[in-house]
Amino acid sequence: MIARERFIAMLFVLPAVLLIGLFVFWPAVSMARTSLHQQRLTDTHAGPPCGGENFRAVWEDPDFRAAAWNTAYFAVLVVPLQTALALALAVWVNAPGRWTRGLRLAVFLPTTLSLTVVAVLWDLLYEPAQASGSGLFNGLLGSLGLPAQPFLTSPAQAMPCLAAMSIWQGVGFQMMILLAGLQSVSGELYEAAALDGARRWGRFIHVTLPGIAPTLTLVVMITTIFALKLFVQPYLMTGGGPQGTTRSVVQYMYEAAFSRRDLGLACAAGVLFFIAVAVVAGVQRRLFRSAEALT
Amino acid sequence: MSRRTGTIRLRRSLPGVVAAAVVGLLFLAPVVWMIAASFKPEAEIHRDVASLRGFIPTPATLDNYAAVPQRTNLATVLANTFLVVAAIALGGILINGPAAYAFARMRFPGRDVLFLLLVVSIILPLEVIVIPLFMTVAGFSGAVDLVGDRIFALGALSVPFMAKAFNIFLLRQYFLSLPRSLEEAAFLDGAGWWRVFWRIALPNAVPAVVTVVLLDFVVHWNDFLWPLVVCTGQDTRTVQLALGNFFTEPPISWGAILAYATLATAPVMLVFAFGQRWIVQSVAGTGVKG
Repeated sequence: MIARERFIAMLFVLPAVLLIGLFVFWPAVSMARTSLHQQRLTDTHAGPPCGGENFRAVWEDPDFRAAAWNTAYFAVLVVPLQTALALALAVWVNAPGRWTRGLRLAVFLPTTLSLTVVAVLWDLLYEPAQASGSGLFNGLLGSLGLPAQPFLTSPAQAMPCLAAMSIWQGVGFQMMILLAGLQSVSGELYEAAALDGARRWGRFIHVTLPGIAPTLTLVVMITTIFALKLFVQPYLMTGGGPQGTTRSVVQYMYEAAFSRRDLGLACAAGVLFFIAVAVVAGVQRRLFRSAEALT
Repeated sequence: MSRRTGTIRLRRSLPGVVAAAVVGLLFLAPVVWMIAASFKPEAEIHRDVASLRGFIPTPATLDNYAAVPQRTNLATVLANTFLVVAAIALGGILINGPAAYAFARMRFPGRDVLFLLLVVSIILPLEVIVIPLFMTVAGFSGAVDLVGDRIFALGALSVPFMAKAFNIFLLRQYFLSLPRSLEEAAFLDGAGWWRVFWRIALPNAVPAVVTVVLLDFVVHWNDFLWPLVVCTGQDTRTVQLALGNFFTEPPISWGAILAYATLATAPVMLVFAFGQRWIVQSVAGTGVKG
């Protein structure tokens, strides 16, 4: 009976394990291997090993350094702002009332748009002022008597513009997850805190935050990985410009493979990217663990 | 009396209502503007962009929607995307369902190690391995001669995403929360594992199954990067890739682009209207329990 259970369990698990092995782990391993070899896009097999040559080329490539900085800058803009905004909105719409339901729906609506749709739409909204008319934002600035802004055409403004747009698109999903977390915090804790004379802010710090700490951890980690994966927005809206200020790491990998046709280079960049993602996720986990231990 | 307390309540909540309306409008406005503009003649879209008239499609026209199938192979692209998403969702249930059930209920050697490996693969996003995954899929390109370009492309778009560690994890959590008594009764009646899984466990896990299917639908309907990497011809594109091409290849006609964007969004909005609560609860649940 036990032997039969073992055999059937293997059959149940086998297809999933094979497919995940083939399409997740095997690519990860072959990425590490290709990063140490010369291989052009048209080669079906890895060329001669070249030691750390690809890594040196990536590391010394000013485009890669810029891409790494840009991606980090985007994450630093998006993660704290989007999390704080999502938390504020979640606490706000957690109050009973008809209008909070409406607000919840309104904030959630943009998350149903794909990044492709958002990029296309906001490209039009960000259009600089020109003779044929201007984008929505410059039109609004104009009607308020404020000077027109270059937005995506300015090296200084382009990345903050992409960040603002991404926050607008994504904050509703984070808000809903945090809302589910808020609603699982026991009401008795709030009553006890109120009896102890805790004010609104005190209740938020001492009851709400510890109560949703695991959910908040999840939200921050998901948002960080989403931010580091940045690709569609610069690829479609700016092409990585102006002056390379919005090129992301994923875009660099894509261009290394399909424009420069150098798979070794792309895989070396991928290995570095993987290490960065893993380190960031690991550090965040550890930080949140110790923060939870403190409260 | 009651009227008076009503007014007082309204007066007190008025600042909150106004603030909610303003914030709500910030999120709604671009979406409403997109849909409104998709019903406008091309020339009006830019002219009205900064005024309130931008939000009201007068005069309304369906010309932009009529132009979409003329400018692109819309029917083929929609059919491709539906096929890919359906294959991922259906294949996903067939592959992830039994695996999740085995991890939840059955004993076998190496179970814990395999499960740990699966959890590790959750944190490996597609973007990290997109280039080597492309190389892996290209390794199968000999099959093109067998099945033809289109089938191969649809396979390349769907097969790599059928087995998904996150879905196995989510389904397993749900199976673990089911009472064992139903399954035990079936075993006493002489049913085997396969039968118990299909007849008892899976039908009782409908909320988790629906969540997994809806998530797969939204994620892969909206994906851009992977179709960009593997689609080589006009006839193998998915809806987001075709929209991206529409947006970058001249001549640019904004009316048709916005109509296309609206069409591409409508199915996802429907899915969320139907399943939003389930999706959010199960994603939040993985954080609370895990």
